[in-house]
Amino acid sequence: MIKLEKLVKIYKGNRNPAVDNLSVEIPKGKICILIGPSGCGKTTLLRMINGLISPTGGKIFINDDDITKVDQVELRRKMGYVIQGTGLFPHWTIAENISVVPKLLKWPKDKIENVVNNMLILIGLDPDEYKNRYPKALSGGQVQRVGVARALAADPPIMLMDEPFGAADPITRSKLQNEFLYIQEKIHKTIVFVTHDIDEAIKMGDLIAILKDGKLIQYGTPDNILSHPENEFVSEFVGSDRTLKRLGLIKVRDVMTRDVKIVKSSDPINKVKEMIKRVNNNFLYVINEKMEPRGYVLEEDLEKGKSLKEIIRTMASPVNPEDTLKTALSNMMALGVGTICVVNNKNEFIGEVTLNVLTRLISNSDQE
Amino acid sequence: MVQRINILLQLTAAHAYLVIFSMVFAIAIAVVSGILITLPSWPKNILLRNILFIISLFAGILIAFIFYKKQPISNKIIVFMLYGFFIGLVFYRKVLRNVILYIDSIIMTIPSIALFGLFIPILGIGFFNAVVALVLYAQLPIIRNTYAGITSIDPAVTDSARGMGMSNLQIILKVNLPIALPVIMAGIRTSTVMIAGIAAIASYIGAKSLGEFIFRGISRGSQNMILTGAIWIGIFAIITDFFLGRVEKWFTPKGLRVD
Ligand SMILES: Nc1ncnc2c1ncn2[C@@H]1O[C@H](COP(=O)(O)OP(=O)(O)OP(=O)(O)O)[C@@H](O)[C@H]1O
Ligand SMILES: [Mg+2]
Repeated sequence: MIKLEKLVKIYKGNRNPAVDNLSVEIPKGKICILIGPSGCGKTTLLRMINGLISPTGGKIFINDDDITKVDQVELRRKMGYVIQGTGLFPHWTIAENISVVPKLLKWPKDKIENVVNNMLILIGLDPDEYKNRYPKALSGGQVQRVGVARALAADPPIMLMDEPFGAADPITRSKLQNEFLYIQEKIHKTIVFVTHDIDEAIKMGDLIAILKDGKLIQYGTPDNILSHPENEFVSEFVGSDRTLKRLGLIKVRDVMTRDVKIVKSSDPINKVKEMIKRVNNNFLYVINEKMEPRGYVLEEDLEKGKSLKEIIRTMASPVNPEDTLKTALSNMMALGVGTICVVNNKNEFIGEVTLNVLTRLISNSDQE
Repeated sequence: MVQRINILLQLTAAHAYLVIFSMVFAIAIAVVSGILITLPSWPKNILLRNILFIISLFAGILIAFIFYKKQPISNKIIVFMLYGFFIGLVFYRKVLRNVILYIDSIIMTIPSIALFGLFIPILGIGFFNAVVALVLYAQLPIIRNTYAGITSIDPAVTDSARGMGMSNLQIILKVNLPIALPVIMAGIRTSTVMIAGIAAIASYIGAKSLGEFIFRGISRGSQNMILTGAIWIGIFAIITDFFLGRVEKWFTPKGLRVD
């Protein structure tokens, strides 16, 4: 747990504080995002938590210990710090860079070697190829990834990350985010994560702190911030499409309808007609023998053809329960339909999500 | 002829000895003070800082006593005290950082022959006096480059070193020095080549060096000797430069090499 209490930082010679009376509590094992315009004090805050600079006022507690009362060097070794601009050591190889803290902690050699390999695999760089390279021989995105690996290497319980994926292209960035979330699910570190990118904040954050001119404007869960922006600044900051963004927070599994009536593609057409009268829909999903969805039939088409195969229509590409509603909506829009089926990882039909559910969900909670 | 070659070789050896002897001191003093003036606040304790200052003041006096045991030394102490005072300033670098660099560049602007002339009445003549003058001369490019080399390191690098829990000493030895090494080496190279030339003038105050060959040539009216001496000093400087260029390359960490 990290607790900041009425933290103030005024740099020498500056009139305005870089951090202004800021109190935040970051629970253990959670990712807290710091976001705000350039110069709002995000880096300053991380540097104070790390002990690189001391606050002008206020206190910082880590697991209830005042950080001014513990050994700074020890403190820092328990904190992985990914610095803005990375700061890899140019005179050391990638392997040497990653093993800095393990070496400071005097781990045995073979353990360090293992860690280096694992870390490189984790960040998607082939150990044999990259281990002995120097930072100058890496791309900007690769340098950043090594920066993250270096901070993670000694398995610190706390991570401070200052725009760690800033230089990666959107695809790599999203991959790194997913990778990181996946790791976090297993290791449960307490993470303070700085970003400029509101989408990244929404995706990565358990909690988001929005800062402006060193002040905390709003602190809450991504959903809370998207649905109840505290003031104009926040709603402008999160963007006018915040309602759509909320869809990115909700998983399909949370809203899907599970007991959906379906027909098999081998079913006789009469049976289908009977079924469609019993549901209050004008369509039915069609599956094959392996339970895989094939498409849907409309009531109005039933008279036209003799077999199901002739009148089956193309459906929106199915989603998984772990996908977000944003994906679901996007898939529906791509085909201009109001429903989408949900499949498990064996591609078997397990339910559906409809546009109605989505609109109801969002308009409801907006009025709360 | 053979005799002259013999003399030339002897003087070359003396010259090299004078240069190396001066450079060892100059490098040690200049690199350490170059590092010290880059540290924002070390030592933190003001009392300790004052003690270190006084130590460096007395270190000067101590050296004077060791070097001049058999001679009357009253004036000499003043020079060494001044020098110790100057070195001691690095402990107050926050205020005096620029003063140090400034004083040093003033010394640089004094023509070497004038500096030697200044030293004769105070220190008298001889090998060590020449060394003192040469060290004073040699240290500026090294202090400058050490300071510039360390302060030009990307702050993100030193920040991450500190942020990951390296101690101050570890940061200096493992990060700052290796990264600044090529720049420091360049300073050492410049100053050694410079000293290799200036050392010739040290013959004036009675330190054996290649300058003696030229001075003998002048007093005997032998153009040949003057020319040989001058060219030989040039060759000596060029060889020194070439050799140190190699060393410089060799000292540059692989990750910093441009290829
Ligand atoms: N060493 C310093 N001395 C004086 N002022 C500083 C110093 N570092 C930062 N500042 C000022 O403090 C404020 C906050 O800076 P900080 O680096 O924390 O911003 P930031 O939120 O990290 O910005 P960015 O998103 O651009 O990285 C800025 O106005 C900056 O000019
Ligand atoms: Mg910043």
